[in-house]
Amino acid sequence: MTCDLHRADLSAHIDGALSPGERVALDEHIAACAACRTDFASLRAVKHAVGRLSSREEPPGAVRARVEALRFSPPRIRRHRVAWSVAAGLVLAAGASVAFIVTSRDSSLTGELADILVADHLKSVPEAKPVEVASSDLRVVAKFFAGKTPFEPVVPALPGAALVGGRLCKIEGRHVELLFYRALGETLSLFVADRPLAASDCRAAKGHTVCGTTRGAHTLLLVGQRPRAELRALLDGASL
Amino acid sequence: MTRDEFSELALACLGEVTAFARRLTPGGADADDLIQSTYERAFATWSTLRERRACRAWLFQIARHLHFDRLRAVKARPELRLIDDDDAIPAVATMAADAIERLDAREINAALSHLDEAQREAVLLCDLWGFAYDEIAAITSVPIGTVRSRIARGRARLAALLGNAASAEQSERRRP
Ligand SMILES: [Zn+2]
Repeated sequence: MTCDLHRADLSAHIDGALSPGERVALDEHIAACAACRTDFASLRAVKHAVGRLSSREEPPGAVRARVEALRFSPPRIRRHRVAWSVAAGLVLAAGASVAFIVTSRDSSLTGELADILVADHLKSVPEAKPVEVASSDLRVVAKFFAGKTPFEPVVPALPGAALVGGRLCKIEGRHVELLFYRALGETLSLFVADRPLAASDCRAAKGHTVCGTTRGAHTLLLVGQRPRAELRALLDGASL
Repeated sequence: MTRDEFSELALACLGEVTAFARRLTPGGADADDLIQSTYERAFATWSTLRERRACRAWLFQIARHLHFDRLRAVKARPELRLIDDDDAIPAVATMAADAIERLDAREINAALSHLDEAQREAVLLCDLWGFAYDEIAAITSVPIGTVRSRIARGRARLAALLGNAASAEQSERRRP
């Protein structure tokens, strides 16, 4: 009879959920009662047996990609499941551009951000201050940013442009890559950030042009003095 | 907590949320859908999460709520079958603990499938994912006393079921 009462507490004891007083009392009983001792061991074996099942499983790659992409984009309305399945297939096929579907929203470049970027460009170009990493090798420059940015750093190749180097920069409190290229007769600044600060448009600011684009999880923002059509062509030709 | 810190925490739980979603649903596309909705909801409301250490339980709670919301919408069925919380806790079959320890995943899952839904959920949250009673109470929206009783009953029933499985296995081995 007393064992019926104790039985209710055996599991809580195993889970460490008894108060110190309850625990002492139950331990005393277990020490004196062979039946409860056996039950206690069986219940603990059950806990271990359940604990051996898999507590974590890998989701399908497309699901992981879509979930991980959420960190780079604001929440948006879900697609219908059928459409999603199609999109999921595309994501798998597209490989590297997994986040594209999520980040391809058209947000416009604000004047405020364009002003900040031009100001950073003017005070940071190699002509104004020494770069932190000087190399024309994409991999060398990418390696410099490893662990410094809160995202996987990339250093794109721009068509007809020579990489000069780069430095770590901060925009809106976040660390981003600032890369310098020689092209079109000037030094261009390319900001690489990890979320869509801006998308497919261009904007004039302080006598310069700023163009933005989104590539996968990365946002690219190019700053220079040339007309927007030229900067746009350069940016659209960027390969990661 | 910044959004980046939240992202780190939440994404580190993806494997566990996946395992949980697969146990809540029939699996496949239903599970995938639930995983994604869970993270969409989490990323939309993360700023309401006050404590870092509550993140994992919070994700489980979201997954569970979304799942039952959906079930209700589809079938208008009650959240969980009512259980006999007043019944006496079954006596544990006298079973050598080491025999239970030797059972494989298939046998353990088979025994789990015979449990009452609410008891199975409480046992899994406790033994498989290692949540404390107060966390389980929050995830499943019931008082701690109910969690304690569900775990006690569910585990005792499992001990009986697994005890039978273990002794069946032993007699199998003894057969010439
Ligand atoms: Zn006893």
